[in-house]
Amino acid sequence: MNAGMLHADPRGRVVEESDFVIVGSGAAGATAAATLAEAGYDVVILEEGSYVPPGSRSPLLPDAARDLFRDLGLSAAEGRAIIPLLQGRCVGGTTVINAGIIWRMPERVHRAWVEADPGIARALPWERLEAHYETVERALGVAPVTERIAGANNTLMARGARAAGVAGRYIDRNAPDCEGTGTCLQSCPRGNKLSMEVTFLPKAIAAGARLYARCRVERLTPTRAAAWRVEATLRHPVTGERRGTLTAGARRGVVLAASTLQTPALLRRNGIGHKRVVGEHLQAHPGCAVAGVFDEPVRMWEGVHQGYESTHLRDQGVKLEAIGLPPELAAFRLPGIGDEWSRRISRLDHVALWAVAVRCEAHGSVRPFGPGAVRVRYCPTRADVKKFQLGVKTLADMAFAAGARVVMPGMASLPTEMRDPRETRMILSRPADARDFQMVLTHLMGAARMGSDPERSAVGLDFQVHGAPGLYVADSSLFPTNLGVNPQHTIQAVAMEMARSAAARHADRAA
Amino acid sequence: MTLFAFERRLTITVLKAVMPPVNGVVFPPARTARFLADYHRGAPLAARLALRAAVLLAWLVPLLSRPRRTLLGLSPPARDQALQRLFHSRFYLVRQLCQVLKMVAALGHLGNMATQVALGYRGPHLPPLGRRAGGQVPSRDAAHDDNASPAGTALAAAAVAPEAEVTP
Repeated sequence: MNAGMLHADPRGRVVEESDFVIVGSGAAGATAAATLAEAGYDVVILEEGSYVPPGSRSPLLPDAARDLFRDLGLSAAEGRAIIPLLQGRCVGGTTVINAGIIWRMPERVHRAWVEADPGIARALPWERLEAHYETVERALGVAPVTERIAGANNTLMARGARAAGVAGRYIDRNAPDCEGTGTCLQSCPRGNKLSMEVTFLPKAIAAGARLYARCRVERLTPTRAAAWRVEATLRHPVTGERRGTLTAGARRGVVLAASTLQTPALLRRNGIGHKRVVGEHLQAHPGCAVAGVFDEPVRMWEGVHQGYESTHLRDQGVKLEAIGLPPELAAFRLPGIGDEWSRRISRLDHVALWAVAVRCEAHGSVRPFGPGAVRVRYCPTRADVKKFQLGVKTLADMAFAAGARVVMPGMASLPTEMRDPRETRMILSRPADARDFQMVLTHLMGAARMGSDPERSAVGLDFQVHGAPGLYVADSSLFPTNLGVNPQHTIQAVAMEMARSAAARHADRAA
Repeated sequence: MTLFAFERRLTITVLKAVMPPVNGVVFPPARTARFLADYHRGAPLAARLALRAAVLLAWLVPLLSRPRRTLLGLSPPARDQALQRLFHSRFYLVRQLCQVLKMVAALGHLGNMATQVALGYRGPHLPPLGRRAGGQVPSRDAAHDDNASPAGTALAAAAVAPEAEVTP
């Protein structure tokens, strides 16, 4: 067996040969890599971004955006509204910059998948997913946030939920030793969030996997049977400076785990899969935020980044969460410009920020758009926008109930500030227009969805792209729909099942 | 597609009007300029074009109303009014361009430790100014140092390849 190794800055002409080549080192790639490597397969992982260890991380968002985010965090989906979208691009993927929120997929979502395509019950049996959830939860030390470290942004939301009669709870996260530095978005400076670069990737490397950072996959070519050749360029992710090439032969298969945007874009770039389905059916959970100004200091950037949530409206597809942003981003979320904006920023340490995330019914699309770039089209429907209004109204009521003097609903068609709780009624009466909100697109899923029918799905029930044996998909692009909850946990459970299934298939062949 | 020097100066001046000093704290133009350099190096094409368009819009639109001057030729109160009109425009695209200016101003002005300390924002949990875990003062580009991987992190503990091993 080859010795496991992290190649943080490879250069020159690198040639690799392994059983599986895994594209992407985020939740899906790391989990699939660890599972396959521990099953005895030789694994190579290719990651486009850099390796930034906890000791070199900056608590400042511009630095984190440059080193850890795709496109500085400045990509956007186009539609009726322009919606910024965030993705990680680093060793560990988006798990490095997410809030570490852990949710199992609701069983009713799984039932809906099976009702739409009974084959899903064989590919992703609920009992096996539950077993994988338990494995991942143990590995990531999942535990609820405690009040001791939560910080005022979260405890105020808890107070507001109690006072308004809204069900809520402290969030289960994968950060058992969290110290409440409030820097999840910029990545944990202590390495206390158990993201992939401190959990599943070290496991994979310990089992012999080789990980190449700063390595962008360009071309996928079938060679013989299920074998593939992967060609990549070695380049600095920020400067774009080209430093060499990497060619990797995959004897048993390639696992695409490059994210819901990059996986379908890579397939389309290489002319693989049915054009009618690859890159279609993109779903997401867009979010927007409501701000409340309190007499007491809040300092939302202290404590847990996202530590409290309400499940009150979850059956209606609306999730409410506290979201403590660093000052430079929190300021941006305040309304106004010029002197008016600066006056509001001067009270930033008294502002609480809470978010609405919506399980939208809208479908979007992904297309490659130049080297390494994608074009995303997405627009929430009118029904989706109504859900945003319901979420904003509930949060505004909670903020007043928690003692906010001023609530800023963040809707262009409403007064910037509300000072009377009765004003929140106006929120539901506005026309349903996505342009009324400053949304952010998160939790992207489904642009290469799984199914038994090659005319309606990109990936088969064996996790292989229809018509491309040996080319597996392990990330959230294969989800038939969005989940209504944070997807990292389900991405890992599904990737584990994909790897288990591929390992078993090849073990059978070997036998 | 980097900014020309005059574009950089113009952008910084417009950003000053977008976010005037907060609590008397003035934002050092050098830090904003550094963020702008990162922005034009790393942002997608659409975002770079949007910033250019937003700066031009804010600069030139005051010419359409009296007194016919660019944004920089107006008095501070008139400059503020001009920006307010843009921000509350009935055209969605104009409002979004104002959001681009706000975002760049927020990240460029507030996204540095010195300003956050001056404003009293820096949290008690963060390591002291200029220091990170391990007591070292990393260079601004530390994350880009080849194979930067201090001992104690799990991946570094696993194994980090020296360059020679992968470069034939």
